[in-house]
Amino acid sequence: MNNAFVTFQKYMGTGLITVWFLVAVIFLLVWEKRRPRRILFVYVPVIVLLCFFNPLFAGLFGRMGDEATYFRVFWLLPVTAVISYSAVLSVDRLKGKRAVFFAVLCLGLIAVSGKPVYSNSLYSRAENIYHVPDSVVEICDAIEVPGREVMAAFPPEMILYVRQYSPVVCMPYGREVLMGSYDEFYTLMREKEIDLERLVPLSREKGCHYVVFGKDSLILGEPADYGWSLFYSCEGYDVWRDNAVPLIVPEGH
Amino acid sequence: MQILILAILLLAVPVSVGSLAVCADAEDTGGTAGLLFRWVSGQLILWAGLQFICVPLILAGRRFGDAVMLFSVYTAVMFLLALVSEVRRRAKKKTFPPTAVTAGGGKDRAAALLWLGAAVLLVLQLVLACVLAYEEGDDAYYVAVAAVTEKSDTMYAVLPYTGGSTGIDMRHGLAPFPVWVAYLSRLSGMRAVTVAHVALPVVLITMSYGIYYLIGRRLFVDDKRKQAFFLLLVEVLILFGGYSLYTPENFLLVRTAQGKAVLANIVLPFLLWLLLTVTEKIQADEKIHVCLWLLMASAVIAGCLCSTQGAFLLCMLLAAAGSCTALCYRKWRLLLPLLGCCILPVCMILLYYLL
Repeated sequence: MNNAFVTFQKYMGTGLITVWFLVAVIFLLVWEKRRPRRILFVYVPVIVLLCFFNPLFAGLFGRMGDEATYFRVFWLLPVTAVISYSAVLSVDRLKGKRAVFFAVLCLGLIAVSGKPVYSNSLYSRAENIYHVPDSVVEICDAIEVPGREVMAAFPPEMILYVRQYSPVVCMPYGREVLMGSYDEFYTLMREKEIDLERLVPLSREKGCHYVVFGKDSLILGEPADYGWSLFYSCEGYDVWRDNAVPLIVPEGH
Repeated sequence: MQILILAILLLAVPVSVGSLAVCADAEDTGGTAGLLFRWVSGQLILWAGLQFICVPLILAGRRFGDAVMLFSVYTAVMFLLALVSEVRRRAKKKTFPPTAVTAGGGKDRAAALLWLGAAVLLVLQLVLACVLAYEEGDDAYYVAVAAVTEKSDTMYAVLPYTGGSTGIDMRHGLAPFPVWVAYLSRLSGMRAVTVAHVALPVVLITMSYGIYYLIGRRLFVDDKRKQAFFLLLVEVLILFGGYSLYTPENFLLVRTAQGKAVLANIVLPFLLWLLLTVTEKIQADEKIHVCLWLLMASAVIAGCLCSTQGAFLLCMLLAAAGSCTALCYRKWRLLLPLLGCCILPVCMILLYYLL
């Protein structure tokens, strides 16, 4: 039950849109006389809300999936349709300039109560038609080998994108390390000072043909001493080839 | 050429297949609404077929190529059936009734302004979907699954995050929406990442608003001004839906090509439209055509394709709406077709527990 309230709070965000939704449901409960609309815009949302806060229901849902996705029950509430429908009905009850004023007020209230989706700081201008950073595209194109997969270790900021762009580029660690899973290799890769003496054995153990470092990383040790050679360089990144890990191109490619 | 193929697969084919569903809503077969109805219905029928084809193949560990072949055959069969039904309908001269002249339509300048506002906001969102990239963690899974599926010719047998091989990931395989993305990529030749990040947002955002347009039309019959204002409000609510990361609005604009976003913004709103149609027909004491139930079943099965939890949520919605309607109108027989619609989702839930 407590978890349901926490989920509800997270889902509400600033809370005002949810308040408008509840106001709209009450408005329809009072004014909407057509039964089909009362059923879908009043009764069903009330049932969904009662279920949501019911511990038995929460337990049943928990067995179907993880608790982190319990908020999806709220998707059954037709928030957008109910608020919009109620607003149109309200405007319709007014005449002339008052109707226009109220219509503009509704639009303004929604804008003030919500938050623009595009204001999220995780948005950025797309660099290409793949919507992944140019550096990922360049490096993947450079290290891909016809007819086989290659293994490459990337710095943290590239992990999310590599396999979206190129499924033939494999990685020794994936998104799970960004979500807190411990990986010794990754821990070394994200350090500012990269100690090759500690990194190279792990890289070879994972069979990495390539290792990608940011140009601002400080490499401790001479790469050539470990059988590494600079394979490719692009804006911000260097790609090192570990010559001790064989990369045989299949015949016919 | 790639764009042309995608346009055929995402627009022309679903619109054609949607002819099969026209009998579900005989009042709304002409004009923009008719076209949107066909488009959405056709796509849901195709998704439902993909779910039927893909899940057994994934559980059997078959190759992606088999799914491509079978789904292409299914699409072709649906297309031909739709063509035949359209020809027969036209022969009976029952198609495309002229759109009614509406109270708020015609020379209504206010309605025209509202439509213009809605159109501008839609275009803005489509442009932003193309020119803005979002750092979305879950794409590292879903888009990678689509890319791997297309490239490796396997389904859910490769770890998407790293590329290592694994046993079949059956739980995710029960909702194989990324396989559809891979299918589009395979047939068009466009990289899965571009299909997911550029092509699908344009199509799916438009489709979602198309459904809200249909809902507006159902709510405000013959009043263009109210329909336009309704759609404008919906667009503003969606644009300002970033107040929480969990809202369907946020999912629509941020994670458009993920199955759960499609569930929240296409399947559920369309199900709302279908339930509204059913309840209004009951209210008017009209006969409910079997097509309407079949379309509802298709929507529910399409929801299972989108998300494993979709099965649970859709059953819950049908149970809540169905029991309320049956109780209000004392029409208990209504529950039978609704139960029929829930058969496959219940099977998916059981499979989820068993696997």
